[in-house]
Amino acid sequence: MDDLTHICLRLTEVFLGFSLLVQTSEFLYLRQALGPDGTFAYRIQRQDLSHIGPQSRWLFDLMANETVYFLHLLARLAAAISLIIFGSSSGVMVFLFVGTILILIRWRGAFNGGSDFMTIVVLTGLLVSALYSSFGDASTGASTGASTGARAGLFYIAIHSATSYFISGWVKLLSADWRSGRALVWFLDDSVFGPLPETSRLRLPAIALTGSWAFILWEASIPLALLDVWLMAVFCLIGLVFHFLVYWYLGLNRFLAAWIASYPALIFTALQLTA
Amino acid sequence: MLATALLATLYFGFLMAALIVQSREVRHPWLFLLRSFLPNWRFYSAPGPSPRLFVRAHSETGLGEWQLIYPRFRPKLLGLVFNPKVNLALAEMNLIDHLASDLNDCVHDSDVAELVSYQMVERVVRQALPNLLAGGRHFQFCLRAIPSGRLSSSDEGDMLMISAILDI
Repeated sequence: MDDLTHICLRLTEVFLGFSLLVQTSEFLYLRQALGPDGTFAYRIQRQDLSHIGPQSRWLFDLMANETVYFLHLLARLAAAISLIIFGSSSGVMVFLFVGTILILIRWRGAFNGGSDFMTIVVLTGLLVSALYSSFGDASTGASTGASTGARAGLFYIAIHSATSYFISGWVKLLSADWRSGRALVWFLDDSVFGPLPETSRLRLPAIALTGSWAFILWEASIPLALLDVWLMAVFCLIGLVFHFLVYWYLGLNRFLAAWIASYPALIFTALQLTA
Repeated sequence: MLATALLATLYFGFLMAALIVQSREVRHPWLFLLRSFLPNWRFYSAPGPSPRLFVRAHSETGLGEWQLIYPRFRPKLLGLVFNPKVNLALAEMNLIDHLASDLNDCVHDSDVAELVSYQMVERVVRQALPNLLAGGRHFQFCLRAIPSGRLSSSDEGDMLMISAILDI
């Protein structure tokens, strides 16, 4: 595997590992919400699984057991730390991938929307890389197999990340409320960290308009950034600020780590496309 | 380089066309449970009426005022890496959206109380009761579609659902 691919893969592993540590520590704290008196009590949520067969339901019943769930989360913490220190392996990636699906089904399919999606995307990319590295084309040698798997995984992550930013920008562009800046103020007022103070500068139409258009242009411009690695570096730096603001105003902390985990793949793809 | 640019243009052009063309919504219980595999690209895309939860006390003297159940927090820097209460509150707000969606799909004579989303939202209401209702032995909750920018209003928008009077 060449140095560039190796560095981008390792950065992805470290950022995803950190993201999984954040998510898993929060899940450990929130076990009461899944308990018998919690909002997501399994006695109620199990009705969602009425369409599946008894064998599959046995698995979900087992995973919903409080002790099993607790042990699963502890093992997940260990796997995330292993991912950061030692990198991805087939066993660790299969465990994290399947475990993520089981945890999300326990939370009725999703816990935190877009961050769940991007976590699965990055997990899938690293899973492809690890599996190809372990079981890939033996005739080309282990090193070539690892490189091909890593490249495929990084491209997969980059395509999803770029597509998501691009469409998020364009759906806003198609909305008159976003183009006028009104939508930004409405969403900030409706946020768990809202409403905006009456004296907030973000309520000024000129500021709201500028902010809205800055986000729209930044998100929609990612195809251009893919064609120049320096533009992509700037895009990712703005992304850090954007996702910090998304936390500060909307409370979505998990988005920051989950989406940063896709940035090494974006940089890698921009470098490959311009090489 | 030219071929790459052409392919990228075709791909992103296709995505733009897909945004404009309305497609049929596909539903299945597994698709719902595995929806984290499917990108929600319209996240925060279009403001519109949002389902909001209200509760009121019911006592011998009559019915109380509707009170909004809506979580509010202050941002903290530590929350960037550990933010469980806010994330749980956001997940509970999603349950309210799911209930509104399920109500929309309900046939006329079905029992709303049998919906999983209804039962979960009832638990959200029960957990909020100590902070909202002092006294009283019964309560009632409702779901209203509130227009954007009018969060705290309880008498605007369409009534989506009103519960039976329940014991606290």
